[in-house]
Order: sequence, then C-alpha cells, then structure tokens
Amino acid sequence: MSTQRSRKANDQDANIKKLVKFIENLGSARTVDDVMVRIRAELKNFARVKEPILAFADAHHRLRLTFYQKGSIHEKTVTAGWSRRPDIRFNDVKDSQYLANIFGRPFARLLAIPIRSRRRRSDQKSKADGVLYLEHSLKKEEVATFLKFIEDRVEAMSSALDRLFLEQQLKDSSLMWERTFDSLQDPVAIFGSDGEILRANRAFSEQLANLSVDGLFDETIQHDGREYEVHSYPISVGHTDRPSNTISHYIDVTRSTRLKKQLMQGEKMAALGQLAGHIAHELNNPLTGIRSMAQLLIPQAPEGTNLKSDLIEAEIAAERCQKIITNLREFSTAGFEQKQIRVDLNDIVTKTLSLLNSLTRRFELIVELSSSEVPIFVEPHLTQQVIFNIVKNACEAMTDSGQLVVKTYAAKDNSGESIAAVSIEDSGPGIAPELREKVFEFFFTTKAVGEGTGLGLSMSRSIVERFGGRIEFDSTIGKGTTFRVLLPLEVSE
Amino acid sequence: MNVLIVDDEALICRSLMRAFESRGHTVRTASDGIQGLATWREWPPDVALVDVLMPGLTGPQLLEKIESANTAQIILMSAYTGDFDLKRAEELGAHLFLAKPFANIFEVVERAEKLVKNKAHEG
Repeated sequence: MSTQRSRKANDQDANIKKLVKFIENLGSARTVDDVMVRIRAELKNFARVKEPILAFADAHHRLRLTFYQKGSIHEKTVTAGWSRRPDIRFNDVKDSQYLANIFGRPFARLLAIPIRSRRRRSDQKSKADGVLYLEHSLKKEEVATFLKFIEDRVEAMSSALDRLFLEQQLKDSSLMWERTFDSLQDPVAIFGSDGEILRANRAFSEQLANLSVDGLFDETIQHDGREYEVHSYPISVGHTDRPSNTISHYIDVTRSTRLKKQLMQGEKMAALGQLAGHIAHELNNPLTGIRSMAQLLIPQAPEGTNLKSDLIEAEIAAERCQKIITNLREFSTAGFEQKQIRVDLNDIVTKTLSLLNSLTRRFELIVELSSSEVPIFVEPHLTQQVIFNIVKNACEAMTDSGQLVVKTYAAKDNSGESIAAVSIEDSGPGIAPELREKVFEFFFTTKAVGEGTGLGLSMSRSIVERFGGRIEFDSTIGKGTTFRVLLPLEVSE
Repeated sequence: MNVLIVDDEALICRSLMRAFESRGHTVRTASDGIQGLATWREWPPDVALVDVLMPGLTGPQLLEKIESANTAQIILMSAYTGDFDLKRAEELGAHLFLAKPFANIFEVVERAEKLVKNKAHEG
C-alpha cells in the first residue's frame, strides 16, 4: 500500500516538475510560433494526440489560426467562426465542421480547449479568447488523464500569449511614438537635467546637430542660413511627476521673418513715400511761383547786367528744384497704388532695354538672358524704373564708346536662398573708392549741375528693398562697374 | 481780355498777374474760392484760372456754384496729377487743365489767349 502511495507521489512530483519546466520554457517564448513549438513538444508523450491547432485573436485584433503542416508552422487569418464557448468540448460536431471547412478535410475526433486571457475584465470571462484544437484517437480510459495534463498547460499558454500580446502592443506603441516624433518637420529635442540630449528627432539631427549645446537654449537661434524660435517646456520623463527634463521645439521662422521684414520695409517705404508726396506738393506751389516770377523778371532786366544773369541762374535753380520734386512725387505715388504680381525678370529687362535704344546704340550691347523663366514677385513698372535707371547711369558713365553687358540669371545666395538677378556691367571709368559709400545716398550725383538729381539710385535701392531684394555693385577704376539687382526668386506653388 | 486768377499761393497769383498784365490784359486775383466766387459774380471775366486745392471752397466746388450763364473760359490748375486730369476737368466745366509746375509762365498766357480767341471765333 505504501509503495503504491509513494509511487503515486513520485508520479505527481514528476508531473509537477514537467509542468514547471514547461512553464519555464514558455517564459522564453518570443512569438506565437515559439509557444506552438513548446506545446507540440509536450504533446509528443501522447501518441494518440496529433499536432496542435491554435486559434486566437492577436494584438492587432486579427483572428489567426496557427497550425503544423508537414512539420513546419503555418498561419491562416480567419474571418470568423472559431467558437468562443468557454467549455471544453469533446468531439463536438460543430468544431469538426469548422476545421473541415478551413482545411478541406474531415476531422473525426477533436478536443477543443478554450484559452482565456487574464486581460479580460471579470464580467467578460464567459467568452474564450482562443481555442486549442487537438485531433486525437484517445481511448476512453485515457481521456481524463490527458485532460488534466492539457488543462494545466493551456493555462500556462494563456499567460504566455497574454505576455506576447502586451509586448506587441508596447512595440507598436513605441513605433508609433517614434514615427510621430520623427515625422515632425521642426526639430524637437528632449534634454536631461544636465543639458545632455536624451532624445532628438530626425529634423533635429539633420538641421541642428552641429550646433554647440550652449547655443540650443537661446530664445532664437540662427544656424546654417535659417532662423528658429525656441520654445522650451519642462517635462518629466522619469517615474516622478516632478519635471526634471526639458523638451525644446525649434520653430523655423526663416520665411516668416523674411516676409515680416519685407512687410515692415514696405510699410516704411509707403510712409516715406507719403511723406515725400506731401512735402513735394507743399514745396511745389511756392517753387512754381518763384520760377514763374524769375521768368517774368528776366525779360525786364537790362541786357548784360548782373541782374539779368542772376535772375537766369535763379530760374535754373528753381527748375532743378522742380525736377527733384517731380522725381519725389513719382516715387511717392507710382507703384504704391499698383499691386505686386508674379512676372518674368527676362520680360522686364527686355521691355526696359527697348526704351533705351537711343542711349544704348552708341555702345556694344551684349544681352544674355537666362534661357529659363526667372520669376519674381514685384510691381513691374517700378522694377522697370530701377533697371532703366541703372542702365541709363551705365550709359552715361561711358563717354563715346564702350561695352554694356546685361545678364539675367537665377542663383543661390550665401544663405542658400534662391535669388533672381540682373547684372548691368559697363566699361566706364569705374567709381572712385572714396565715393563708393555715397553711391546710394539721397541727392548724391557725380553728374553736372542740372544733369542729375541724385535721386535715381537711392530710390532704386528703396524700391528693390521693398520687394525683399538688394542692389550691389563692384567697380574697378579704369575698367568699369557692374551693378547687380538681386530679388527673391518666386518659387512656383 | 479780363482775367480772373484764383489761387491760394500768393506768388503764383502775383506772377500770373504780372505775366497777363505785361501782355495788356486786365487782371483780378482772389486768394481763396469764396473770394473768387464773389469776384467772378461781380466782375465776369473772359478767362478764369482756378486752382484745384484751396482752403474753404475748392476749385471744383467753385465751378459748381458758377451759374450756367457764365461765359468765361475756365482753366483748372493743379499740382496733383494723380487722379485729376483733363477728363475730370471737362466734367467740371473746365476748358483746359494745366499741371503745375508751369514750364514757362508766358506759355500759360498764350494758351489762355488762344482759348478766348477760339471761343470768339465760334461765337
């Protein structure tokens, strides 16, 4: 009797050890296939039980059937159908029919063991989350033992499948967060309490990785031709709620800053223009009176007297004043009523040059226009005036003969911005070094008295700046001068 | 001929007056629209030179108030060429629009004389 009891106890011990080993093995399973391999190995002890078929809903809520075929694991996604009944079924017709429909062969004897997840809420425990189907040819007296064996193992499988499910969810969640973080166009970085970078997105590593750490905490940053507004917030990425880290968002404001500057410049110019207009009008009336009076008095003054020649000089001076006023008025009114539109710089240059034939025909004129469109966003009439003015200056700088080269092209400037350019090169005497700083000053002119008002280049620069561009020049004494009008290249939408 | 000059700029009034008088014409001046209207009614001119922008009554307002019986040739003058042109001047009853500044004051006299002469021929 005691031998029988101790044999029984030994058997129980051995079973428990096997179960524990199985559970330990399941702990190292990384996939559903791993689980299948382990349960199949367990079933090898039972010759009358064939390879397992596992049906369950995965982490992506797909219904899957995992099974062995010719020694290797296969998978099918099933639309519906496996029974979620919570009871163990022995040779149930419906189970057999279900598998027969899927596999296209009969299943005579089938054991269906439900798998229940611990994830389910207690009120939903009436349904199974999966089923382990086992085709068998067990004898009646073998069933009880086998059931005891398999129930313990299915319970352990359930925990393993739960774990795999959670791991998959975590992986998916992490991937989603990483992809979201990397998809942000603006650089974002998370800094630790010592200022070290804990995490940064792709935009950050592409745009700001070269910047020294000190530079990353200013309110605005300029780097590589771009300007960023820095917004930083305290966050907690550890296990406490106390914020110990900082997340910094670098908003690229390069374009909006440029547009703001253009707008401010435009508003400034508009205000200046209005002021110029008012001043011009206020001066015009008395000046008209002065000039008219001089014209009246000149015939009355005796010939050859100082009075007559003085009056003539006064009238010439008044006329010059009126020219300045006319220019100022053109500056104040023309173009400010007109809108900026998209135009091809090539067209503007062509039209302008056609107006200057009488001047340019004395020289060798070389025109090299860009073979493709050079779009700019400007008021065309004013832009034409700018180019007209510069070409006229170039012609007047050369005396009898010379070469005038006019080119248009698109390029990138030092900060990487796309620009449209027209260059006007003359072979005149060049601009003396001491005069170069004054070239754009209002009323500066090297022309003879009465020939120029000195407003042309100063107004041209104002106009070009209003459109977001600039005017540059190079000059070599004895060789000539090249003026370049640079404007933002209008990118197609 | 009788010439009325209405302009708030004293030097323009004076210089136009001298120019017309040097050609033997009789001239009266007014320094604002109200005075100009009063003088016009009292002394109907052959030609009136009227500035557009004046304090009180503007040039266009003055022309509106002049009765339709008026027979003077009207020259409107203005320093603003923005939205004022010959078409607008004609709508107001003017026969000529002159932009200031004048290139030559004697040309102004000649154009006024021509206006009056042409009208006389039509009549």
